[in-house]
Amino acid sequence: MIKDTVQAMDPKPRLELIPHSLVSNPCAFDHDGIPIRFTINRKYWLRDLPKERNISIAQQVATHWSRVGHAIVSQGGFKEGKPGVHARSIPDGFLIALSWTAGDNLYLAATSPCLAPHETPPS
Amino acid sequence: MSEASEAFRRVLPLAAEHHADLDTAARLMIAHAWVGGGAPHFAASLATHRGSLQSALALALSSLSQAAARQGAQPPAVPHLVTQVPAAPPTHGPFRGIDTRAMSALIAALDAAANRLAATGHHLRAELAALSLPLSPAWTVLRAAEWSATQSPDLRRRLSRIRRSGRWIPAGVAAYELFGAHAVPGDALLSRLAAGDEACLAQLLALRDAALPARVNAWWHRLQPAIRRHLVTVRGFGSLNGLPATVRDEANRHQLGTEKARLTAELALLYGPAALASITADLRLLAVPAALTNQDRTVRLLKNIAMVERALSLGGVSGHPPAYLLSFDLTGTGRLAISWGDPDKADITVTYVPGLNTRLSAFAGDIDRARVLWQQAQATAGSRTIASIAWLGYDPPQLAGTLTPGASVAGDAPAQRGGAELAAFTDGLTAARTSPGRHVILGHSYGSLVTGKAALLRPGRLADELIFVGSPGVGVDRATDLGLPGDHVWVGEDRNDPVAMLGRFGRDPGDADFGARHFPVGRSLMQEAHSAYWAANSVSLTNLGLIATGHYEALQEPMSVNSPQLLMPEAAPDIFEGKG
Repeated sequence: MIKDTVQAMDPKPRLELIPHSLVSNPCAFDHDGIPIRFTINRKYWLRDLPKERNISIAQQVATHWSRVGHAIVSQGGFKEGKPGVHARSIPDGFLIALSWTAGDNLYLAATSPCLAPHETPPS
Repeated sequence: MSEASEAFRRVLPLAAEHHADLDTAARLMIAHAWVGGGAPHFAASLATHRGSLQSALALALSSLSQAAARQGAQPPAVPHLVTQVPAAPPTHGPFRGIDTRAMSALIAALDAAANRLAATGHHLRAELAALSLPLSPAWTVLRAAEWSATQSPDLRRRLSRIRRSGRWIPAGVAAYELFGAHAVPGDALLSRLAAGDEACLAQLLALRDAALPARVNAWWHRLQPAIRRHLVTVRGFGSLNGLPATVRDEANRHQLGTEKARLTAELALLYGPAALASITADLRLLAVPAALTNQDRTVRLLKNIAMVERALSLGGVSGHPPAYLLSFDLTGTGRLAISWGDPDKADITVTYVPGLNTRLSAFAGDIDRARVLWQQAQATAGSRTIASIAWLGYDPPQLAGTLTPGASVAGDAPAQRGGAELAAFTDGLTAARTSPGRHVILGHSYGSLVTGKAALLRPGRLADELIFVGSPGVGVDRATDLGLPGDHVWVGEDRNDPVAMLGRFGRDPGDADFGARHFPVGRSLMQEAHSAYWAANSVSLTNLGLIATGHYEALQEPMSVNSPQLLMPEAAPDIFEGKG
């Protein structure tokens, strides 16, 4: 889904994985404090993008997500040059986001629904 | 004109020029709000001398005026020569250092006052003596001069020692170094603890003096290495607020290891043949087997230790920062504080105060929330560093289930006690810093009430920003009652979160009249709403990261629920404004 989003961008950024995003995030714990369900995440810095194109990139991402049928959940910061968009993918319910960070760096992230270890993400 | 009248005419300008000679010093003390250590003692002495100086000059003029009257002249009017210095200190954030320029200015002001007042005192003595009037006003002025003259070399020497050490020092710790060891309740206990009297530690841990953590930090930095090496092995030492984070971590991990070994050995005994014999014997007597009860207890404690170790295992791994165990105690409802990232050095420290947990094992989720918030805040912060703390340092009220509207819930007494613990913990964070920084506190559910209580105990000094999520009330009716400007108090309420609607402990902080800023958290399914604020990649978590790092302009706003699910930007082009 991330790669698909990047395909829709112009100019195309280089993706740099954020290491801590590889750790599955517990979303449910049992009585002894042992995690039993997890979300799977991926977060990538968007490198090699000119910073003045940030707003345009964010608009492209939002437009693309809408066009392929995902539900835009939130947006913010466009007026101030710190754009961000969140969406929920349809039909598989991933949370996907493009976010602004200090230094005018953007990242693209995807998070699966809360899954038990034996479940695989729907798509 | 009489002799006394002429003397009055000479003394009047003297009084007018010099009655405010100690005002600059007094204003500097108040403006920089140096608290802790000997600062209050010093400030009190300064205030006393300043006040007596003004009284003495007034008394001298009065005395001369009366002498003139006795000599048959018209008694000159004694002008009102009293100045006020402002009483209220300005609010300022907790993570500030000393202002060495202000300190130098204070020393210079004292030097100047010493010289001026000495000359004034001598003149005054001469005038009064010539008329055989009581000399006490002159002695008062000379005592003020002498006091100023003795203070400034001592302050200058101490200030240069601080400058030479090169270390950045928090303001509270500096107050100890600068103003000498003004005795506070913990002083004697710390000395005895360093000398080997370990029983003092329990008393120190029970003290709630706001100045103690700064004293602890100053004390620690002066200890010999051999004493330090021993102290980190003393049970409970790691919970002493004011110690550096690395020291607390070392001491608490040592204790974790010791407890684990002890409990494991105990378990071996509890499952041994002697235990079986004891169980059989108890059952024969129709008694609850004591050995089984002990097994349960030991197993539970070992599970909790396993939970803590599991939580800490991500420290320094897969892009995570080192994890610091700042507090660890398995007794009672338990105490646990873990920081992702070093809170002594981080540019921004976020302390998360969770709500009600009736089991220590439930803290696993809270530790993970702090971890996830670290990830979000660190990604957002760019080159600034983050420390994210899960603080589980109070005894929650015991409830059968979650808070539900209308149910009989606990009062705010546990929050009151918890607030005192949180205030002390924050004093410790402040005292242990090695550079200036920003402190944010995030209170969830009942934890938001604990935070509110702590804010009342430390007006203006608890944090730079407060965030409340899922709050049933924070104990006050207005954001500004918490000691911060209203635009630094944030409230996030999921509209499906029933706890947030309670408004039971003071006005609902989500009310417009409360005066806090709102940040959008999106809307979750009702059964998740009270806990969903930290969901990875959610609007809520993203916004928490943005507020923590101060990037309020980038806050995510949810799309209106009435808008069609498939939003076509072409249909609403005004949403995506900005430079193309």
